[in-house]
Amino acid sequence: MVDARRIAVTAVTAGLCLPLALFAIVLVPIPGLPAASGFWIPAGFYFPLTLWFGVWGALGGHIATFLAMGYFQGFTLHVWLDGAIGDFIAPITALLIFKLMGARPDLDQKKNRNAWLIAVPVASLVCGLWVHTVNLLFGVITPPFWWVGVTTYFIGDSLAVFIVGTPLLRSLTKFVKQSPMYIWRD
Amino acid sequence: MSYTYWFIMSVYITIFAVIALDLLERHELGGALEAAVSNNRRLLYIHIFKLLCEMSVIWLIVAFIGQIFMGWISL
Repeated sequence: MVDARRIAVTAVTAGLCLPLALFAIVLVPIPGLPAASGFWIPAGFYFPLTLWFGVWGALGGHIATFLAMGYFQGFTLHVWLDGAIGDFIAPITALLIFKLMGARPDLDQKKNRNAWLIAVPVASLVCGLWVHTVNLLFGVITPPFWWVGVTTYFIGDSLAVFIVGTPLLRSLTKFVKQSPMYIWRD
Repeated sequence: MSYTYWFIMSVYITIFAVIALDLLERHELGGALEAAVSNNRRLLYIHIFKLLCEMSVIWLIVAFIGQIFMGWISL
């Protein structure tokens, strides 16, 4: 069921992540890889928002990435879509890992913290594999840069999510729990 | 250092101070804040997204300073 609150969550997530995505690409570029960043700070925001609000948070991250990459003239629609789909897949992967492990995003128990420690690097790796394999198949990058891309996404995305996402989950989940849009009900 | 540099840095330092004071206020309010938020859903969303925006603006300031050091922004 789509209602205004869900659309608002997506819009706010997208609005919040858009400048972060844009300047993450500008500030920490990876030579040889189009529209890539070695420290993907918006992931630190849309991961928690996805763990709180589900697919609507992930959709916000997807829109932000799509628009941020669109800023750079000369990149093809494929590059925009590829990265944006990768940034949709990553938080959804983390969400699925939390579901499979029966964990919750408040990180107050060992099980929840373990899920977070597993979900973030796995989701970052899945994102890196998706983005750079598609880039390679479309001839956007050369094979040596596939390894560079996957490794930097794995490390750079994971670092950003751990540094920004962890305090956000720890400090805000107790408030978000009171929202009817919070997707976890015991 | 140019006048523009000092002006922008003054604004950023003030923003940092505002955020630090807000976090201190949040800490001092403690249970009172939780009670207020649980009774008012609009306040709940305002509180959540305000904190997210504060974290976001800190990164944007870091990004700005980083770009000065990298030479992409000159003042």
